[in-house]
Order: sequence, then structure tokens, then C-alpha cells
Amino acid sequence: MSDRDTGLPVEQFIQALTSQLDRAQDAMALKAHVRPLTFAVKDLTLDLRAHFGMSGSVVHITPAGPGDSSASTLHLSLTSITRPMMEENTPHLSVGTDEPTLQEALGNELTSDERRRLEWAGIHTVSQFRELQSHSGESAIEQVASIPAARLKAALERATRPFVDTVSPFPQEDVNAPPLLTIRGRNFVGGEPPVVRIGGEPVPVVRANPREVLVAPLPHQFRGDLTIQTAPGRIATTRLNFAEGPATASLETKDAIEEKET
Amino acid sequence: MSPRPFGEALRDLIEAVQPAGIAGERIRVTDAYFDLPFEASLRGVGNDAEFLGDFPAWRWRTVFDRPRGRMRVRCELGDSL
Repeated sequence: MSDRDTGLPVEQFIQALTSQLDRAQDAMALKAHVRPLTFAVKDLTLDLRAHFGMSGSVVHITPAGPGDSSASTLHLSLTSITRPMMEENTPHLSVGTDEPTLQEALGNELTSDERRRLEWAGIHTVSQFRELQSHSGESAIEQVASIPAARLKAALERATRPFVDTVSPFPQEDVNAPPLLTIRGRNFVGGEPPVVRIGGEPVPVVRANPREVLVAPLPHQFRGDLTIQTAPGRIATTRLNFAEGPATASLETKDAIEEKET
Repeated sequence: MSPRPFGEALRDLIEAVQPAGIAGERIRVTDAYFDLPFEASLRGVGNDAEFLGDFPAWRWRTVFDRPRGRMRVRCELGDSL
């Protein structure tokens, strides 16, 4: 750990400050379980001696060091936001219970710093990402998160590609019924139902939703490459290998899912 | 003495005015306002920065001390969030 003599973008500085306020409030809230009435910070004003500089379009702040008499003064006033105020002024961004995180959906498309900046903007999942993009546009997110619009577009494009997590036999009560396979993952429904192939041959789709596809393969279709295509160029591939038919449930899926580019 | 994370200093300050022991059972401080000298700095923690802020350790300043800022904080009994 070292002192940040080179300074910090002001947005990150404010984030570091509010994170410390949260820690203090959390510690006091914890105490409230023991003692029902406790103190809460209502207003906070800080006069900070610091230097300001520009790096591109980003304003940096550097706290003044010892013997530094020429520093500027930053006057910051913060007031606590009550829950009703927050609910009244914050647009509701929906979150599905089983939604993948940004890390899962975007992989290495964005750096960890960029993902963190999106989280600061209240974007934790892809659906929140899309919702905010449709409300405010990419340029607004670009400004808040300092991520170029083209990279945001590429990240969203990646997040809409199909992705296979698991493939497993569908349990059926009738032992004579034709075997079915359940494919679980995400983004399985685009404009049209997905096209599923095993070993290059089409497989009938029984039903499909964005997270799950039920297919009815023929007896020889329990081995080979399984592909799901939701739109031109949007294909997820995984390898099936049922050793002795689907009843054994001995499925091997390839760790890496190959995603074909448009 | 190294400055503490700001959250710790703030928590200790606020808790200091809460009556302890028997007094704590019988009286409550309903609000408090502080106006204090304050020293701030930043520390890198991984890719993040931690805001350090503490009250001056000594009344008399030396050339090794950072320039002092000022902190004013108002607290009330109850919940803010």
C-alpha cells in the first residue's frame, strides 16, 4: 500500500469517501441491534486541502502533503439520503433472481475497473445494463462509467449471445417415452425459436425459454457437437458425450464454450 | 501515528458522545455537532483507493504534518437510512 501522490479522479475520490461513510453508518447500525436508538450522521461538511489537475477530461484530486502551503480547498457538503427520498428519485432497475452477474455475462469484454464503474452507476446485471441503455442511451452510460460507447455496444452484443451451462437428461415418468435433453444456459430465445443441431443434424425443439431449451434427439444424437443458434452469427457450441445413452446421465460437456463470431 | 480510514475516525467520534454504563441507561444525547480540524490522505488498496481521514494527533504542528482541513458533522438520534 502506498500513498496516492498522483491523485485520483474526483468521482473515485467521492466514491472512496462515501464508502467510508457507509462503513461508519454500518458500524452504528450494527450497534442499534443492541441499543435500539443510535446516532446517525445527518450532515457532513469537509474542507479538504488538496491539489486539482486535469488528465484528459478527468479532474484529479491529490490531498496536500506536508509543508504544502499552496494547496486549494475543496468544500464538500454531504447530507444523508433517507430511504423514501432514494425510492422517489431512483429509477427502478429490475433484477431477475437467477440473472448472471456482469462478470459472468461479459467475461473479459470489459476490464474489472470498467465493471466496477458500471456497478457504481447502479448497473449490476445485464438486464439493468440494457434497461438503462434504453432509457438513457449509451452516451449517458459512457459519461457516468467512462467507458467508450463502442466498447459498451460490443459488451452488450456479447451479453446477448447464447451460452450453454449444462445439458442433462429430462426426467420422465414413462420409461418408454422417447428421451429428452434439457439444455440450460442463457439467451436462448432471440427473435425466433432457437435452432438446435447435434452432429450437424437438426434436433426437434419441444419448448424453449430464455434460460432453458428442451429437445428430443434421435437415438444416435446423444454424442457430438451440440449447437444452439438464436440468430445469424449467434451460436453457442458444446460437446455431448453420453457413454451409453441418456439414461446413464454420464454427460461430458466441454469446459470452454465456443462462440462463433458473425 | 498513521491516519485511520475515515469511517473508523467518524465512528469513534460519534460513539464518544454516547453516555456509557449507568448513564447510558438513563439519558440519551439527542443530537451533536462537531467542528474539528482534520487531516486527509489517500491510500491505494489494490486497484481501489481508501480515504484516510483523522484528527490531528498533536496540538502543535510540525513540518511533517499535512495541512489541516476542517470537518463539521451533525448527528441525530435515529436512522438516516
